[in-house]
Amino acid sequence: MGEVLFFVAGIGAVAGAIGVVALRNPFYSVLALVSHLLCLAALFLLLRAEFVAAAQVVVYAGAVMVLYVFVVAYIGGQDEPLGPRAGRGLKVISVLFGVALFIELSIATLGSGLQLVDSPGAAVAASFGSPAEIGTLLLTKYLLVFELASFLLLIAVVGAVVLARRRGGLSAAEEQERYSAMDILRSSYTGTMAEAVGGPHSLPKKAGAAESAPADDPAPADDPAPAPADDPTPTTEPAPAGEPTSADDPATPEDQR
Amino acid sequence: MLSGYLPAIVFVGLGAVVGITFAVLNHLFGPRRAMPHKTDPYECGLPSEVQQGFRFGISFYLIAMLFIIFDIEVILLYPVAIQLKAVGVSALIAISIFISLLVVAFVYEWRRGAMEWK
Amino acid sequence: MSGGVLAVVGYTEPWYIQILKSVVLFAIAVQIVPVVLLAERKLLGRFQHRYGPNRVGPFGMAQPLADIVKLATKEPFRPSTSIGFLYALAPVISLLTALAAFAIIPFGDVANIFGQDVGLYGLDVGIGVLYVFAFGAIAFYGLMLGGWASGSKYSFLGSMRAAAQLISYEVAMGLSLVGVLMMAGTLSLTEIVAAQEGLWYAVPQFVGFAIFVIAAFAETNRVPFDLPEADAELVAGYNTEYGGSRFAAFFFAEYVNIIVVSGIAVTIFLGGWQLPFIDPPGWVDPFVVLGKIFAFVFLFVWIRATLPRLRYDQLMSFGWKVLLPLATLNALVTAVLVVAL
Repeated sequence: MGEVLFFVAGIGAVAGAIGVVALRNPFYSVLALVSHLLCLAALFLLLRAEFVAAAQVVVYAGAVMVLYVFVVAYIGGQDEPLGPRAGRGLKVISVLFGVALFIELSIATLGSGLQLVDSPGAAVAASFGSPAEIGTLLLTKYLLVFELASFLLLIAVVGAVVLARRRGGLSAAEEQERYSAMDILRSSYTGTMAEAVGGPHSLPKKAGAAESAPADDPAPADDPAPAPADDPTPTTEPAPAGEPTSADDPATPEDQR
Repeated sequence: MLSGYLPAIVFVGLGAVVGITFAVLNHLFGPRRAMPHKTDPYECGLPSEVQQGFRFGISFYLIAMLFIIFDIEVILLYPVAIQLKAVGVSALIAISIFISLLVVAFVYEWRRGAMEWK
Repeated sequence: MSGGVLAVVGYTEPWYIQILKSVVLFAIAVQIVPVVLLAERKLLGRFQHRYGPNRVGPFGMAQPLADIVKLATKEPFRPSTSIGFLYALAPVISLLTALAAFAIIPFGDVANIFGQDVGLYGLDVGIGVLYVFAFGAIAFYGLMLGGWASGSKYSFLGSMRAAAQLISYEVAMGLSLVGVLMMAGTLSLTEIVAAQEGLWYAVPQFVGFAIFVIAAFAETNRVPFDLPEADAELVAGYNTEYGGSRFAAFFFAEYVNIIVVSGIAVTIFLGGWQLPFIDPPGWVDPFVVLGKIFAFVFLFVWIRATLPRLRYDQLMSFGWKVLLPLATLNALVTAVLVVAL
């Protein structure tokens, strides 16, 4: 049973991997990668690493591949080729590298891996690979790694947000907003006049108050929201964060003139 | 240990049988009265010009990115959570640091408006 | 069997018993669906001062059968824009993953049937609830493929929405269970049930329970979170282009998902086969679990008859801005309490 599963999963993994590079449609490539990852999970299960197998499916097939699907949906057109065709030199080098890797793997397999096929394998405890065992290891031996993983996730969040902003995903108006504790308690665009005067991009801009007594009332001066006239520009082309405060906001002097 | 997974394999196999039965049932029992308009995709109004080739907003990408991050958080928390009782205070500190770093990430996202659906 | 005795964990029968009980459980899983379907239609009728189906068979009992016969004898068709193979594969994936997830629900402890010890569950593995999440992750592709391979923009829009909704609430769902895991100290579902002897986790973990239930509604695309099928704007969402028995497969999978998620909620929060104050003999256990599952299904129907649908941005921000922080807070507070007490 185990041998049959191993060969089914192994062949599936290799076929999936070949599919990823061979298929021209990015959506098919993603599907091939999913099947590849599922086969890898089966192989992990055969190695008694049940938690790793579950994590493989949940995180890779369930989360990372979802991102890939969304990216394919985001870039749209599967009619376009995936990239410029590689030059002749690049092709030769890639083939050479592939062959070299294959030879290296073959040597490793024939040299050591195959000798162990008939042996019973390394002795492992009954709890090996179980979530409890992994939890203990994460809390003792690999504690630092566990905490660093959290830190890595934090960096990934920052990276994702920055990247999305660069592609115009988050409008400039919103990132300049100042937040108070009240904003977390209050749902979006309630309790202000924002909704009435046209949504999030034209937040309260008491132009009259700023004109008459700018020093008197610091609230509008602190409010960095651009004037409604400027609205379309920042959405398409986000300005560097923090720059257009009201002091060097071009709209304010124009209003006063 | 793998023997415990045998029912899963049986369930997947039987599920595939039932699923494939459903998928081909119409071909076995259904009538065949072909008509060109039957194969048109559903459309309300003008005939559809776009098929799969249209693009989606960046919001989906952002949501998926956030999902990966929190999914990894959950999957790392599970094994640690079940050992919390056994290990005790040091585990509590470890989990607190782990979660608080992610809370920082969460607050950052919220403030940057990454959770606004557009 | 229940109460008193600790659950026998990790017990595996000989392979032929495993196959036999899997087949029996699978048959039960397939049989529950028509019952739930009929119950929903009957109940919805009563909620709206109608009779509900009452023509086919006594009290309309044969209605699901009639539905299946009707859907099975439809003409096969697919849109000319669709991708045939994937279009046919999508409902199979949906159904397969939904049914496979059913195997993890424990209907009782290890029982002695005709001199043979049999665990009243499909499988009881160390990864426990992660098994369900793993199959949920694969189920995503059934839905996504269904929308994408149809070649219709309504389908694709519906599937993208459904996908974003699924992943948004999956995080909250996963985090809502962390509190229980901390208290139980195990992922195995039978052990979690055994640990609930005396006090169901729905009581100390009421926040986690509430989050889990809400996320469960979203994960199964049920009202008030049935945005993927918002018929006013998306026609029918990802299954717009499906008809006949393939549509039935999607529909079937949806109801299996409801049963599975109810079963998980019953197991993790409502004490599984345990009853308060009384300790019935072992053969009652499966019926207790089934009864609790049906009570949960009733809740699904009740909510469907009561609440309107959310708007999409409300749905997303509710998942990320309310449920996720709450679940995180719940996990932290539970961690402190578990260590302190």
